[in-house]
Amino acid sequence: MNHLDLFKEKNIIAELQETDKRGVLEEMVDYAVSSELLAKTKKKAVIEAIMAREQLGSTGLGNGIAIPHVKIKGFQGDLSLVGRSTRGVDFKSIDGEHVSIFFMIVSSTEDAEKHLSILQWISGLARHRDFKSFVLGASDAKEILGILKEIGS
Amino acid sequence: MHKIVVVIPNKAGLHARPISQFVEIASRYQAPLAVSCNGREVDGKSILQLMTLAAACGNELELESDGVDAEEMLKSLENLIRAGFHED
Repeated sequence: MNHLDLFKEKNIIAELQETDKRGVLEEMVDYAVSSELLAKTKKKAVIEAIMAREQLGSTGLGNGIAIPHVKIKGFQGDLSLVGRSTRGVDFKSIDGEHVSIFFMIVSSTEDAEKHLSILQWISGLARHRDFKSFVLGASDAKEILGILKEIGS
Repeated sequence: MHKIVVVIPNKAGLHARPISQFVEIASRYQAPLAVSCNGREVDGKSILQLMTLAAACGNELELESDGVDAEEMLKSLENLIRAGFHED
């Protein structure tokens, strides 16, 4: 399972503008719609599902990384986005730190193993000593993708 | 040294939410915690490390600890796992 296949340059938002939790999540979903990664008709359902998941517990897991994700029954395909915020967002993370790197994953409910595998991959990136500083230092989406490929393979 | 082995019963396995619940409980205790799955051992109080296990439904988790409140901690965690993290 090659998780890098989920991410092309267009799945990467190099500079998120919003600085609050709901704002930044909506910004990422809006980006998905305008980049044709997500149908406009699905936007509301996705945002509501993502916010509901955050209510259960922040997906800000520490080290400045968050993994807002949902499984939506019957969702076609996978929506995967990486977003970078150089300003940092207060995400009510478990360690209290602001979040600078977001992995948003929306998929259907079916494949538990696939979901665990993606989390495993992301946590490997998050634990890499230089991942965060490399991503924050990158100049654009293309460079961020390069970092994912280098560290994530 | 105290050790328990528990099978993960819930369909979705050890994903983000169960891990958060697990670490929330584990961090209340002083004793250190090692968690192993499929031959890999990680710090059981680290969310990111637990996530690297990709522990699925049916996998066995080995929890190991030593110290003052080790037994109590392992018992609480065992209860949580057996309850399937209150999911299915």
